[in-house]
Amino acid sequence: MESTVQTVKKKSRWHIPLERKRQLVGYWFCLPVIFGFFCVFVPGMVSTFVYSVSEVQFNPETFQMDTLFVGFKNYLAMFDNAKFLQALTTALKDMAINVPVVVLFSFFLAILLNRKNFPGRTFFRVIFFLPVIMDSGAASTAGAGSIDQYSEFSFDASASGMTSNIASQFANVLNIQAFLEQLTFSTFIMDFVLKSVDRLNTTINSCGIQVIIFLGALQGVSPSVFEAAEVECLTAWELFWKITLPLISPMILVNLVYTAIDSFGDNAEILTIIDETWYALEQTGTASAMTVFYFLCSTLIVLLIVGVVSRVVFYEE
Amino acid sequence: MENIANGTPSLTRGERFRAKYLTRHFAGKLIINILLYLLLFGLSYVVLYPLIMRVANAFKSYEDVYNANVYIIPQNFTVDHVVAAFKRVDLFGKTGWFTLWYSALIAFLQVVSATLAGYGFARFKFPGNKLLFGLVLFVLIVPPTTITTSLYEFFLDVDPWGMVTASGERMSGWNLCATVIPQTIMAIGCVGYKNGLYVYLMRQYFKGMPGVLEEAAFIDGAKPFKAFVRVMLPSAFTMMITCFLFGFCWQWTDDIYTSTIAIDLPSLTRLAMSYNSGSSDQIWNSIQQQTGILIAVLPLILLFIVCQRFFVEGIERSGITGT
Repeated sequence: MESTVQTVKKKSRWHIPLERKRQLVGYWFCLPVIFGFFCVFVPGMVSTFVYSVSEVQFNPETFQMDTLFVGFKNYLAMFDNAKFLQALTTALKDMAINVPVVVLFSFFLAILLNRKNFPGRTFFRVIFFLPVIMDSGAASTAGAGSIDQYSEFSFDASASGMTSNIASQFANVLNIQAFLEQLTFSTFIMDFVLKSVDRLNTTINSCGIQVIIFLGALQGVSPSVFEAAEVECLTAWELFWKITLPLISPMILVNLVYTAIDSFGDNAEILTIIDETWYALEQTGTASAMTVFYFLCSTLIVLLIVGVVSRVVFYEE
Repeated sequence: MENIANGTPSLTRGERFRAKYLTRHFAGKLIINILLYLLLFGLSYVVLYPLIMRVANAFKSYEDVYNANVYIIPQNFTVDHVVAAFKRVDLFGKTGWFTLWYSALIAFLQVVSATLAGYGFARFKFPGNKLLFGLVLFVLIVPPTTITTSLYEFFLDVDPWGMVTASGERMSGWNLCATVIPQTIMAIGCVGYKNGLYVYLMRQYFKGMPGVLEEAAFIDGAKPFKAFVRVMLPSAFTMMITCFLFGFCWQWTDDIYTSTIAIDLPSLTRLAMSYNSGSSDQIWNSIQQQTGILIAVLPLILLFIVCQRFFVEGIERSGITGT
């Protein structure tokens, strides 16, 4: 007995330095990322920050940007820019509606698509994923908005008041607003419901990756858990709340954060305003202040989400 | 009684039909399935609606656009505008070729460094591992403009230690924005558009792989890098293709970098978006512009149809779980 313990001890004594040596190799693998973060990202952030607190002027002699520290003048200028503030608040409001709706909706879709023996699963998965490719960057900037604008025109002209959006057409047909008014819901809830119906288009278009992430997680739940639940005679309702939801909850957090970044961090309107201020108006300082403020907002939101949701999330280990 | 005794219930056809299909269970299932497919087809239509509209618009003539009776199928079918858009967008010309290899290059570099980093984060517990990984995800949160604009100012005039202007031949440093260098550097450093996502995916993938594989390689005397290339890379190939396809598509349709640090490089989508027919008709203008964009992203749609397995299953199988 004693000899075995000794050999194990000896072995581990031999192993640790080698192991540690081996672990340090990780730095080599992460070298590109370390380089990217410290040599591209950090200098970029720092210079943007420096621009944001200084008066920036192009020096034609040295071909450099001359900076003169002016304190928070640029930030004050930014708060005077009504267009930017409006875009920012709209983006925040949009995000507040988008994030829960998109995550709920993609969870719902994932559960629908996760059924067993369900023909056409691949087909629907592919279709819901299509917007990830199609609606990124340039394709989206000139995309949905202008199409709606156009189709509103070509749509049955006699049906005035009908919006172009298919979803809101349905809402109009079903007369959801009147229904909710009859139920005497508060205006806030009504607004939320109507707005989420109104943006069904955007919602579906922005839940491609989230659906797949949920699907992957749902399939990752080991079947033995469900078998055990069956033995314990759990109903489908209990199964969902007691087993599926807790096991999926880490992915809910991931998706919340991803959706928030996707919805707020890529806001086309804000980016256009920043670009305009930077290049067309050549107010580099103000534009930098805008980007810094924009970045702070998005970081704050993500921290908020992580801080609140990670308390509820259930981790298996 | 007789039937039961024989053990073989001899039911008539009608009885068998009734037992199988006219039950509450079957009816419930049927109704649920019908509702499910109705819902899914409806949602699919909502997703495909912009695409369907764009394709329909591409083949409409000017009269059709203002004809309230025409919704999707054009009355005066014409391919003129599609042909014109093909010529304008230059898909098979220089711009298309450049966009193709540039997107491929950027995506490839992004995937290589994301794979390396993903492996490093997943398998080595070096000091600062978690912190560094957190920083990579932090880059994901930062809106791209926050750094691209100042990087643009930097790359406009690169003059390392005054070497370029020292001889006095040039007034200013190199303008690297006309080259592929800025985005190449960003791709290598994994700070490009959503590159943190690739690192995350690769890390999760490597974490899900059994460590026994490498241990066997170590016992056979392989160095960590060799073990990585020989043992881990071949199995991570699918995941790498997934990341590559993401990088490729997002670079192809990119409008953040092509409007700043890559502004002097040709870009299909920029070309398609900058179109202006010169007519004062906004709606007609935007339809023509969208036809151009449709053609610019046509290769991506084809790529998606061919490679959908990699796009969708790659993420699904990455085994993403918590942290």
